[in-house]
Amino acid sequence: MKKILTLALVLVVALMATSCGPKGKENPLVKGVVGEWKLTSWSASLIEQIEVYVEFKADNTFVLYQKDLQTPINYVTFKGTYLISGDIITGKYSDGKNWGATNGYQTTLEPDGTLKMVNADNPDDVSKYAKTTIPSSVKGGAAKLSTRGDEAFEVKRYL
Amino acid sequence: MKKVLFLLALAFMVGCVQDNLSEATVESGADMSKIVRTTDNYAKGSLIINFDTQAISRVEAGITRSAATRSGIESFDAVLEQYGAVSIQRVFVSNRFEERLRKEGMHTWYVVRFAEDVDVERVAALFSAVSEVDAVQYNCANTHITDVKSEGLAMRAADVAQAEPMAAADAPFNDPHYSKQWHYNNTGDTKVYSGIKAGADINLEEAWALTAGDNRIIVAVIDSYVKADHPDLNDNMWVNAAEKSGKAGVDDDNNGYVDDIYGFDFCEFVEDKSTNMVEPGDHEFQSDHGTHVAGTVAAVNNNGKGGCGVAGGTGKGDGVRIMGCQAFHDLPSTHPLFSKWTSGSDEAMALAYQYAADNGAAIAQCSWGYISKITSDSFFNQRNVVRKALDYFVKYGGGEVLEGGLPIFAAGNEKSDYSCYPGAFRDYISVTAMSCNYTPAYYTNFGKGCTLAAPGGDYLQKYWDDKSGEMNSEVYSTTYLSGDYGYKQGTSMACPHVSGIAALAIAHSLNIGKKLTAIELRNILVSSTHDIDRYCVGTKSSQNGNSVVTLELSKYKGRMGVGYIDAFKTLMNVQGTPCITVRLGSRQTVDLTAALGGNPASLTFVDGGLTMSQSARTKLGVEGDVSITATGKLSIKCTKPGSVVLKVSYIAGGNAEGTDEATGGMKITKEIALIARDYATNGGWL
Repeated sequence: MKKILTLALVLVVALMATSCGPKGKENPLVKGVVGEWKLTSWSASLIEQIEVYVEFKADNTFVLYQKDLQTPINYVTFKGTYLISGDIITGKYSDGKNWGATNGYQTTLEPDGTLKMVNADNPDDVSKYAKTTIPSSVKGGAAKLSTRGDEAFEVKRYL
Repeated sequence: MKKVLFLLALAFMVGCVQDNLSEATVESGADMSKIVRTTDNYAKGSLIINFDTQAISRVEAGITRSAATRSGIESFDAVLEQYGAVSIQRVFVSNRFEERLRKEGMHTWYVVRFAEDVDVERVAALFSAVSEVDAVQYNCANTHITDVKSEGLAMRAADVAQAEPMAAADAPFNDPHYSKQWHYNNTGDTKVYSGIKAGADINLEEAWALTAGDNRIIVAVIDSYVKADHPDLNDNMWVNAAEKSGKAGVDDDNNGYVDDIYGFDFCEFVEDKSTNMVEPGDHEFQSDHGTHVAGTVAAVNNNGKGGCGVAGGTGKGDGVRIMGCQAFHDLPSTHPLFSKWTSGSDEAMALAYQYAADNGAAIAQCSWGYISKITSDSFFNQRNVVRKALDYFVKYGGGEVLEGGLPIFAAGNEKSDYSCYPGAFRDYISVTAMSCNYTPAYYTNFGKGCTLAAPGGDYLQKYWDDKSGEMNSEVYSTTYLSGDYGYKQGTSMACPHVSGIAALAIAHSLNIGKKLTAIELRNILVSSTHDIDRYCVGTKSSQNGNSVVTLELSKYKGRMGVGYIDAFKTLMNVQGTPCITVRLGSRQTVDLTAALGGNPASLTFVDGGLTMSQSARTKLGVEGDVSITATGKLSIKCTKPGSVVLKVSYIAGGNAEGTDEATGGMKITKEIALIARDYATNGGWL
């Protein structure tokens, strides 16, 4: 009798869950990607100066904090929007520039909870991110840039 | 009998050489190639000898037997006897580091003393003929007097009897005279000079946001007296705890010296071989030089007194420590002792560097140099006892905070187109002087052997403004004779800015868990510079005696060293290997300025400029040449994402490395991380 009751309960819960959900198949990335992430590896090697945090928000905007490679003490902030289509995430910065991976990143949520993003045009370009809480020092210090010196320690990429 | 014959032969030999010592003695057996330095300003009554390593055991045994008046080498002792040698003693003191001193051959150096009227030129020639003698060095004097071979390099100082101002509300520390120190943070205050340019400084405040010092770091000030009880220095003086709490008159820590609490007076030690603690009230014939230099390195910050020091801490006991290593006595020219050699010597200088190494100094702050024009590194070869001591410091200095010691020298104030030695030597940093508008200071040396620039002040800038005699355009720091604070100008004042920044770099490395080598630190300093050549245009006024002369600044272009130093940039370079990034798929030209310092377009690249292994090329899928362009930019095309480390080699201070044939610059090999990836065109990671 207990078994029957348990089975009935499971069935009811399952039906309720199904009936309350959205119509059609939901892309797990849509919710899964939302949150704060820290880059933990890149193409199996990570130079110590690379430090990247990214926050994907539910409204399809993102904020990227990265250490300026010329000024490894400071973080530089980038903002923009992103779109998810299947397992591909594409994005655009608020200055109108596309992401470097112009055809987006093939993205998966790994069993260990990490976010794996593979450049759709370049399978050797693999980044992994771990869920984190972005430190306030990163957010707060992001705007600090030195402007001293002839070449100035402003954000430069030489591109 | 043998001895008599030898003496007769020597007497004949020397007798033949009075008119032309060099030629005749070569014929007669003297080996002039063994003789180091010249009789110009040599010390009366002493010579420094380096014995052959094969003979040293005989010398040591002989000295033990003869109560330090004979060497145990017959031919050598014959000279000692004939000329009435008073003593023969080791130069470098024996102490708890005796094993490594012997390993490095420090035990083969001796000083022989005679009566002051003995003709040491003749004796030097006789010693050089002894086969067991490797080198004979004139024990040259070091004073501030301009007609001698070496001197401290500051040019003037004065009282600053002014009302104590209040520290500005937005100043980083509460030191009331900080606003005078444009050389740290140049806001463009026209009270300094009407033509001042904001930013002509060492960019110190941004560096202070990361670190202002660390009391584990010791900077040895190789100079004249450092006033240890100065109210703005005392808290940052190195204290030899064993001696301070030990017994008076006893070498409590077995470092070879008695009662050395804040450092030591090596001039006094050499003069009478008595111990003499560096303490207040015991220093006649002094100048402000050493105290001024020390204050720039580490005057105590945030103590409500005077000005600041580059690495003076935050007022919480965290300033770097000053070790007073007195190697000058600064005798005034009118003093009756002037004709004697008691104002310092090569022997005292050598002992100072040994002391700095043995007692844990990481940086040797060296605002001194030989003024005479020396045209190659051969002058400063292994037969020079000061070079020997510096080699020892470079190898064994550093204490617990740096692998090896780093000496930093001033370039000199003679307006000469070469750095003075030892700073000009290819392995050492030689600092030129910049004024408060980026232009070269009117007095600074420049050219071959000069490594980089730092603020040294320029008195004439303020003078031309109002002829008030105020010295606002000089460097403000602590003083000894002229009240507690005063202005000075000189490459002597530029040099401690670099020493202070070097100390900050070590402090920052410790903060982030790194331990640098001295060579790494040197390369970081050299590459943490900005282009100064852009300011070497037009003219500025200088003086020659009482006449006003016009300086064409173009003559300094490319000759002030790599560029002027930036403290903040230095700390960033400590943080990690500089990174450059390239996008995949097309040829990129990447500016190397931030990574190399100065103006890469004017650097001389050597060893092909850039080293990139074949495996690195394969990893990044490099297509075509990898090269550095004439404008100092890296040209490369990568097709695969990845990261590699490149090595770039270039010359700091000239267009060729110094050699035994010609003075030149320092070869720097800089590692640069290169990341190739599909970065966004605005540099974003995604």
